[in-house]
Amino acid sequence: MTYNESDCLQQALQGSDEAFTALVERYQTPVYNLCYRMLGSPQEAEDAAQETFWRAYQHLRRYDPNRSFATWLLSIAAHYCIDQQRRSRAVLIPLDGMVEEIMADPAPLPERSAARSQEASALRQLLNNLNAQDRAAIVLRYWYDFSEEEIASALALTVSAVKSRLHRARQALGQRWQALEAQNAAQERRPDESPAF
Amino acid sequence: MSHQPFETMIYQDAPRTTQQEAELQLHLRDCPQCARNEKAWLEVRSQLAAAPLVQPVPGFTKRWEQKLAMERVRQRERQVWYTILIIVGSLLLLLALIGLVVSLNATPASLLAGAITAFVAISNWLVEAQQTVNQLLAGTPVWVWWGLGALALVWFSIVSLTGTFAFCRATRLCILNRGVQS
Repeated sequence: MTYNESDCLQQALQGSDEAFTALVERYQTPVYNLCYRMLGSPQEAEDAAQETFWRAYQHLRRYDPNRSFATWLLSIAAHYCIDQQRRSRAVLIPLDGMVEEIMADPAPLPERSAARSQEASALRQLLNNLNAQDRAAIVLRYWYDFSEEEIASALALTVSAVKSRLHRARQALGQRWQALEAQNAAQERRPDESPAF
Repeated sequence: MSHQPFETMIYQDAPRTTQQEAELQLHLRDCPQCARNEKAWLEVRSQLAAAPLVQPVPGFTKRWEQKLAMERVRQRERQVWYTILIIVGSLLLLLALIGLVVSLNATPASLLAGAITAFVAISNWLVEAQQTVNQLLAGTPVWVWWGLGALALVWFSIVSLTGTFAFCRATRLCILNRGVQS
C-alpha cells in the first residue's frame, strides 16, 4: 500500500484509526529521536513518543493543513519533553552500559561500534548540559534542519529569541566540549604519572 | 582586543562572507582562546552532523495501538465518573438550595416543630397501615403465605444474579484495562 500523507490525514480526521496508525508508522523515528535527544533515556523517549502521538490523535482537528504535519508533530513532542524536563530538573542520564542506539549499520565492527558508542555518550553529555528549550532548539536545528523561523514556530518563541538561544547553546556546547577534552586528556595522562612519595 | 564580534562569527549559523572569514582568521592567529573556541565548535558541529536518527525498539506501532485502546477505556471510565460527579453535585446543590430557601422562610423553632409534626404524622400513618394490613391478613389461608414466600425467594434470586453479573462485568473491565496497560 502506498503512503499518502494528505489522504491519511483526511481519513484520520474522519475517524479512521488505521489511517492515524499509518501516520504513526511514518513518523515514529523522527518523533522518537527528538524525545530521545531531549530526555536521554530510551524508556522515557518511548513513553514521550507514545504520548506525543496520543496528544496529536486527540487534537488532530486543531491541526492546520497549511502547516507541515511533521513540524506540528515535532512541536508537540518538543513541548512535551520540555515540560517533562522542567518537572524533573535533575535528569540522571546513565552514561555507561546504556541501551545501544539502533544504528543504520546492520553489523558494525567492534571498534567502530565502540567509537560510535563513545561519540553517542559524548553527545548525550553535551546535550545534557543545556536547558530544555536550548536543547530543543539545537535538536530541531541539527537533526531536522529546521530554519530559525520553523524552530520559533515549533517552540512558540520569537525568531530573535531562537537566534539568541542557538548562539548561547552553541557557545555552551563548545565550552563543554573543551572541558570534556581536558578531562579526557587528564585521564589519559594519569596512568603514566609516577606515584608521589 | 574585543572578542565579541569574533565570538559571534564563530557561533553564527549563516555562512561567513569573505571579509568576515579573513578578519576571523587574522584574529585566530593572535588569540588562542578564540582559536580553541572555533576548533571546539567545529568538532561539536561535526558530531551533531554525524549523529544518526535513533530508532525506537521494533513494535512501536503495535504498542501505539495498545495505548490507543487503553486510553479509550480510561476516557470512558473518566466520562462515567464525570457523569456521577455531575449528578451528585447537582443533587447536593439542589438540597443546599432547598435548605437555604427553607431556612430563609422559617425560624429554628418553627423548623423543629414542623419536623416533629411530620414525624408524628408519618408514625400515625404507619400504625394505621399496619392495622389495615392485619385486618386484611387475618383470614388468609396458609398456602397464600407459602406463595408469598416463593415469590420473595424468586425476587431475591433475580436481584442476586443481577448484582453478581454487574460485579463480574466491572471486574472483567478492570482486568481488561490492566491487560491493555501491561
